[in-house]
Amino acid sequence: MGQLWLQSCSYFPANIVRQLFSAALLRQKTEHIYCIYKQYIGIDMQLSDLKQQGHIWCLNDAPSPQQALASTGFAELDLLLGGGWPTQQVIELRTAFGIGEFRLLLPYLQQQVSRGKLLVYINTPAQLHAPFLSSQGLPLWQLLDVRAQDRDALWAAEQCLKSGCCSTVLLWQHTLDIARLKRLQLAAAEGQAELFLLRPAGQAQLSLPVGLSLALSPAAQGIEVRVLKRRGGWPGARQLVNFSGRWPRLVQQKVQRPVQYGTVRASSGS
Amino acid sequence: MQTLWLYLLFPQLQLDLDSDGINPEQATTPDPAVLLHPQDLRVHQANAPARSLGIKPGQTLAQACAMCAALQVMPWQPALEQQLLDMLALDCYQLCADIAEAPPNALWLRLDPMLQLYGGLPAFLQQLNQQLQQRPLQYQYGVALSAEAARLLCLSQPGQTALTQVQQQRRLSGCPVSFLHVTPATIQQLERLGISQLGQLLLLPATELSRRFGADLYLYLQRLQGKLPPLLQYYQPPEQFSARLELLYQLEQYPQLHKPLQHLLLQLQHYLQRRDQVCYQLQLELTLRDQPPLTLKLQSPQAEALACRWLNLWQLKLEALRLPAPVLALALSASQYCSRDTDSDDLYAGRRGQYTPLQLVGLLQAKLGSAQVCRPAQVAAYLPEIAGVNIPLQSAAAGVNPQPRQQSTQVPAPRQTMAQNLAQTVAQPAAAYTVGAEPSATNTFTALPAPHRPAFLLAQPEPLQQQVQLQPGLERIQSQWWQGPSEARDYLTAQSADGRWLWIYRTEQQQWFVHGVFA
Repeated sequence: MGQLWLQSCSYFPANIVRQLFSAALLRQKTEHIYCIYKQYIGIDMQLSDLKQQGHIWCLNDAPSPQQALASTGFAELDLLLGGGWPTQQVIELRTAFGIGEFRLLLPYLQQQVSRGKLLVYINTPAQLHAPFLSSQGLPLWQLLDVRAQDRDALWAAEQCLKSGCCSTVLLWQHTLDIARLKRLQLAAAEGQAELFLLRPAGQAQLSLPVGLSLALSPAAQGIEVRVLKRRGGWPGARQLVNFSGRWPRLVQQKVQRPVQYGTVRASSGS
Repeated sequence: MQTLWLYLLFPQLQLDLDSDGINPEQATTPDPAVLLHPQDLRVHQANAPARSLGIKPGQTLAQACAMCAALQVMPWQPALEQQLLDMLALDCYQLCADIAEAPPNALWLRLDPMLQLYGGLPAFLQQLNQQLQQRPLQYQYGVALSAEAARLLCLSQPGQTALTQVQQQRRLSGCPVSFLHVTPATIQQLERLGISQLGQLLLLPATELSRRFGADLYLYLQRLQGKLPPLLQYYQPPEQFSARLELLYQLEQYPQLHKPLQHLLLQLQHYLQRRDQVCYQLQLELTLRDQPPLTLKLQSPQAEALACRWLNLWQLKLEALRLPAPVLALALSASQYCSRDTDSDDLYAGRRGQYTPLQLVGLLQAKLGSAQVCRPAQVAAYLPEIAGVNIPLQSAAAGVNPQPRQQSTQVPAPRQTMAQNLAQTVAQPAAAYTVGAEPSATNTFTALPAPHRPAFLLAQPEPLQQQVQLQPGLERIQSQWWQGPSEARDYLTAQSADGRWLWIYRTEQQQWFVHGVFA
């Protein structure tokens, strides 16, 4: 028995249909199993009509199971993203430099370096500070800092993704066209690596076909994340990610007096 | 003890092999070509299509051109021929240990120690044929009991073997004296005396011969009969790989260099694979027209032997290169060898990727330049700009062992905490150059809280030119007295109006600077 078809002319009672299904499953000889809504059994319809209307579906045609997700390390962000960062993909982050975007990725990076693969930074906006990285548990011998011109940076990102020896690539890049992005996505899938594409916010740029795109904006207690695009989800959701649990010294807000630049003494100094 | 020698002659060494690297497809149907002697401008060698048109060695260039209009004429280069002979000696070294070169175009192989390994002469000759047929090469050989006899046999009766004294005498007795390896004057003298064959010569008494012709002929005949050992210098394979390829055409663009380079790299691959070695560094010298030669160096942190991997790296390197003048010749040499390690990858991990970490670094370095691929490294120092540096990755084999620029030796009491912390997290210099491999020493010190540091440090501190909100908590960092002018900075965390977290400091002169960004 290769296939189990329920003909539209045969009026099976529901329990018989169930029996048929379970028998087929037990024998494990069926290649295609068609599920049918209980209430439609007995209605005289062509199978193709039922299939067209979506009442019948084939398990082989069903969408692939839930894409692999990796926890972001922040419970509220996991909730927003439906479980975490999608893995082996390109993730776009629209962000200004210095508002906490790197710390948002840090728990994920810490978790990734434990796989023993490389972590590549391409065109960081400023020099990475090694004492911070090692204090955060990122082993320095697994890091690579690559500087390259515009086109070469994309080339380097693609090579790193493809190589299979990198877990995550962080690329700071302003412009990117769709063809290039597709290449990067294929490379990420091939090398089982993840690409975080950090682009400046606020620029009128064309929207890229990425699986996940987030806009980050500054907040006093952490960083605000807004979903621009998410595969299998709705855009527009916002969430404040609080850093006070992980980095309390960064977000303590007690001193209220603003400091003037120039020669004014800082009040908190003494 | 009876010896056995094989004389291997390549009658058209340069003609057969010279154009092989650049246009191998021509080897099947070669054009008529001759080698011209550079001094007397006569035909030195002619290949088979040219000979079929009637061109013979010794003709003048005009005669040869009259017979064939489309004749390819190349100069005869003894140096190149010697190089090709070395290459063939290296090929044969795979089969036979004792090889002597007989310049300009022949090799002696001593077979008697090797026959036990191969199980007899026919098996050895089969192996030799297989080895030599890999190249588009004409060759002939003779096997006899002494080196000189093998030579005579090869010249007079190619392909013959003489395994006993009787057989050898019978075969050589009819050999013309003009083939003897003695001076032309002696040969002329012999022919004038009516001695035209070797058999006649050997019948004469030795004392009379040495009296009339001198000791040279006597010694030669002794060597020929195996009574004296031959005067030969055995071939030693070179310690360093280096190969040169003369181009038939001037090349002006990189894509044209691809094939010749591949040819050289394949030679390198053979060389390395025979030794079970890999190499870290290659040097390519391009001989340019009217310009000094251009030398390019290429390093691969992952030692490689395979030509395709090196070619990949060269491609990236040469893409960026603009040739100042057309290329006339290429020379490739290799340095920094090491024996190949066995692959220690996990067999069951299911590697999906193409490269190892070191290969990836090599690839990036070849394309972007080695200064562009860095690794953050940590140094035990107080000043942040010294404590965290980016070091370009060098190859592990280069033996570059960078010392941290600053080392704190004595720790003053008030700053014990931070110094201890720094000392614990100092990057191991040895580990700085192994990619993806965990150094043996691990950081186990976790009792103290990590210092509050930004993720990014600006290259130069910038004057603070915006309104910021300060966070509590001040950290004073003072430079050490031996580091030049003493400097004390009070570092603070601040958030700017646009929401950026900055690491700012105030100098003793009450000037404010931004030094880092807490991204």
